[in-house]
Order: sequence, then structure tokens, then C-alpha cells
Amino acid sequence: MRGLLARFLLILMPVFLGLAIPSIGYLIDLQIRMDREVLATRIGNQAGRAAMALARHDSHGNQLLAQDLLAPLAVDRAFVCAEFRAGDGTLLAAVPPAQGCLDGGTVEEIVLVVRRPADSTLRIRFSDAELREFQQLKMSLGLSVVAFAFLSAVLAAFVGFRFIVGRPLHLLQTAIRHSTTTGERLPIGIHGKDEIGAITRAFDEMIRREDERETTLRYTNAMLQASEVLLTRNNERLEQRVHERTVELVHEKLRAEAANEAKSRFVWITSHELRTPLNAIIGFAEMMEHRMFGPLGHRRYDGYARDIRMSGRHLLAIIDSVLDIAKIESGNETLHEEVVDVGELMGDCLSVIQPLCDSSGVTLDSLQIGTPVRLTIDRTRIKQMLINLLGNGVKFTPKGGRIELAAALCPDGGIEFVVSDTGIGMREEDIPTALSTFGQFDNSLSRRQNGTGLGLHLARLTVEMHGGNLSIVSAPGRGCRVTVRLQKDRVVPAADQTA
Amino acid sequence: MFLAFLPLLGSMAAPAWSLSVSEKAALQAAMQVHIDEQTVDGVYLYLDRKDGEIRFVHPVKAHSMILTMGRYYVLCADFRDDKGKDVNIDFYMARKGRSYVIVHVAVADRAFLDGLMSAGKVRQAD
Repeated sequence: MRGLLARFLLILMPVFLGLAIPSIGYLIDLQIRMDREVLATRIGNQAGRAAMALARHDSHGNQLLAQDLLAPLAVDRAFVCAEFRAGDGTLLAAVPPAQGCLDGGTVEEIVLVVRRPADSTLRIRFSDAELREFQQLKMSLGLSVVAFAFLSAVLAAFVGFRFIVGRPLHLLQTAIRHSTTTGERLPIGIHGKDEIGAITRAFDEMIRREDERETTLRYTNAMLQASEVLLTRNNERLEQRVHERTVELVHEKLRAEAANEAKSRFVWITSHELRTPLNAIIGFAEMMEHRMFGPLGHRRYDGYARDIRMSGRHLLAIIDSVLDIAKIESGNETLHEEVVDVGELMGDCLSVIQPLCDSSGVTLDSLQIGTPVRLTIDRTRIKQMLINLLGNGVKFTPKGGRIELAAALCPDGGIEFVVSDTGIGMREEDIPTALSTFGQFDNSLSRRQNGTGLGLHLARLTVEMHGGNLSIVSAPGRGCRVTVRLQKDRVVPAADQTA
Repeated sequence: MFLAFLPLLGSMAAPAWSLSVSEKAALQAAMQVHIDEQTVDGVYLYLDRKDGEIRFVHPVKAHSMILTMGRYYVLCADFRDDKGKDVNIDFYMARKGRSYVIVHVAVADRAFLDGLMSAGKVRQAD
């Protein structure tokens, strides 16, 4: 603060002195010149009147009169001496009397020609000492005024600076120190209309905003803490519920697995137990149908024996499928993987299904991959799955229709088998049902086509066992398109294809 | 330090040419002598060119300011007529030996002098 004041004074004082001293000097000089003119006018007028008085009264012969006419000149304080001389130099009158003007001293002098007596002169000497006295007095006065004004200006600057600038700055400094040391914000509270006032007002506004921001932060922090507590409680409850639910689910899972295992075991055992008498029934039915031990006695028994054999085979197919599903779902079934050539696999399937197509009047087409491709799969299951899919196509395709088995490599390195037909198709909403156990959506159709309703479900399980997926696209009257997709890891790498 | 330059600054403000106090007093005395010489029965007489009549005024005050016009000088004095009207008279003067003489008197013609001052021909003596 003092440094600021000192700098302020260092700027102010030279400017003040640089302006005040020449101004005072100019005014004093002007006053002195006016005083000189006044002095000259005063002395000149007196001298002129004296000269005219001497001329008017013809004082040549009357020296006493001349002395009297000159005497008033002595009244003027600037007057020094006067001599009135005739043209021949004779002293007619003088002031001081009989003495006149003696040489010496610095004085001013004027000489006037007086008409009477002819060529007489009046010499008057006067002093400008009073001007010098005035000059010194005014100089002293001027210097005093300058000094006083200088001190007043310094004092005014000091006081003014202290009250206008120093005090608000001091308060501002104190407030900032207090804020930095204690963390508590103190407003200044003094707001002038000048720039300093604007600064203190801005400081107070900043403090007010900081307080508001801090209040908001505290409130937000309190809300966050409350939310955190609430969240913690909710988490604890949730964890508790998750734990409880997990325990329940584990129990449920164990129960479900146990139930499923029991079911599968039951189905497997039951089916296995059914197969033995069923094979006997079929075998005996065939023996009767072929009259292995002689005629049956009545022709209608031939028909009955054929019905028993066909129904037994149908039932055996169902039991086999149920057994397969039970094995897969119980997790007891494992894949017997081997490297299989795709072309060979497709050829086997086509050769199996071709007679059925011929008897049904359906055209069978295939679309092979151009290059040899080999897969690591369970040959039997995949082949059986494709045959089942092709068989389904034949079953649901009217005479004159067409079915196709196609294979193609996917961009991601996997492989697709597509079985498509031009059969009756199905509605989109019936597709999930068709993929489920016993999922033939139209039982009358199933019965007519002699199907078990387990083929698609078993196909899906087989594909999923290989890590692939099965999808169906179909519409009523527009055929059906079944896509079997196997992952890249099932395809033998190209470098190994020739091995 | 500044105080030492005070007289110098004062002198710097003055014109280069100036009149001493003695010269100024001599000029004032010469004007006074002229006015006294022209005064008849206590009044100053002059010719009014407009009316072609001799008029008189009473001397009131001599101006202390002295003007210069090259080698010549101009002094002024205030007069007043019987009606109380102020009349300014300007005296144009020249040096003659050790004294001064009036070479022209301009009665109530201050505009003329103002014109000379405006033209820069007349200025205040220091």
C-alpha cells in the first residue's frame, strides 16, 4: 500500500511542481511588470505636472517658488532627488534643497525640457527599490504558496489515497488473508461508486457465489451421502435377495436336474424295456405275414399281421427317437467325431432318400460345394439328421414337387446345409412348435404322413450338440427351408483338406 | 531546484524588447506635459472632426500600459465630458533627444488602435 502511495506521489509531485512553479513565476513576473508600469506612470505624471508648473509660473526669477513647486515630489516614496537647472546649467531649485542629485547609487532618471525659462531642464531621479521589495515579498509569498500548496497536495494525496484507495484495498487484503488462513469468507461491505468500489463489489459478489456454490455442494454431498446409505442398504437387501434366490435356484436346479435325470432314466428304461417285446411283436408279425409256419386260415389275418408289423415299426421308430432325445437331454450322449467329406456325406444322404423321392414323384436336387471340404462331426448323427430333414421334405411335398440339399461355406468360415422343399410349408408362428418335442402342429397331417413329431426337435438337439444352430424359414403353400449351420471349428482348415 | 529558475522563467515570459522604468516614466511625463499644455481653464480641448467643433473634456486617469509601434509609442488616457461620457484619447509619441513628443492624438478612436493591435503593428511594451 505504501509502495503504491509512494509511486503515486512520485508521479504526482513532479507534475505538480512542474506546473505550479512556472505558473507562480509567470504570475509574479506579470505583477512586477504591472508594478513597474504603475511606478513609471506615477513618477511620470508627477514629473510632468511639476515641469508644467515650473513653466507656467516662470520660476526663473523666483527660486523660492521653484523650490516650492518641486517640494511635493518628495512625498513620493520612490522619489530620490530633483534638479531644476537653467539653460546655462545654473541650479535654480533642488530637492533636497541646495543639495540636488549627488552621484552614486542605482537610480532611475528622467529629464524633461521646461519651456520657460528657455532650455531649462528638470532632472528627476527615483528608485525602484520598492519594486524590488515587492518582488522579494511576492517571491517569498509565491514560494510560500507553492510550498503550502505542495504540502497540501501531498497531504491531500496521502489522505485521499488512504481513504479512497488504501482503506478498501486494506479491507480487501484482510478479507483475502482471512479467507486463505481460516477458510471463512468475509465480505467487505463497503462499495463506492468508483473503480475500487467496483472491485470490492465484485469481490463480495464472488464470495456470495462461492458461498452459494459451497452450500449447493454441501447439500449435494449430503444428498449423495444419503443416497449412498440408501444404496448400500438396497445393495445389502438385493444381495440378500440374490443370495436367497440363488439358493432357491440352486435347489430348483438340483431338483429339476434330478427330475430330468429321473425322467430321462425312466424314459430310457421304459423305452429300452419296450423295445424287447416290441421287437418280438414285429418279428412274430413278420413271421405270420410271411406264413413261415403255414397259412393263417383266413385272408383277413394277412392284413392284420401287416398292420401289426407296420404299427410295431412305427412304434419302434418313436421309441428310438425318444431314446435319443432322452440320452441327449440327460447329457449321457457323446459325439463320436470323425473327419467326414461333405460331398461323400451328401451323396450318402441323397442315395438313401432318392428311392423315397422316386416313389413319391418328387424331384431331388443337390448343390455341392465346388471344392472338397471336410468336417469334424459325428457322421452317423449328422447323416441321420440330414436324412430326416430330407424325409420330412418328401413327406410334406406333394407329387411333382421338388426338394433340394445344398451345402455352402459361410463368409465366417463355417458351413451351411440347406434342405428346402416346395411342400405345404407352415406358418411362422408354428415354427417354434415344430421345433419342440412332439411338435407337429397338425396332428392329422402327422398321422397321415406317419410322422412321430420328434424329427425336428431331435435335429435341433443334434446340431446344438455340434455347437451349431438350426433355423427354419417357411410360409403356408410356399415350402420350407431348413438351415443347419455349423461353426468354423467344425471345418477342417484348408491346409489340412488335402491330407 | 525549481525555485532557482523562478526569475529566469519570469524573464522568459517577457518580450525581447522592453522599456526601462525611466523610459516609461519619461513617456508618461511627456504625455502629462502635453495634456497640461493643451488644457485651457482646466479642460482639454480638441477638434471634433464630425461636427467641426472644438470640444473639451476633463482628464480622469492616465493608463499605465504603454504600447509600442516600432520605434514609436502609444499611451492612453481617460477623459470625461460634461455629460459624464467617457472619452478615450490615444497619444502617439516619438523620441526627441532625451525626451518624447506627441506626434498624433486620436480622440475617441479606439477602434483604430484595436485594428493596429489586431494587425500586429502595435503591441504592449515590457
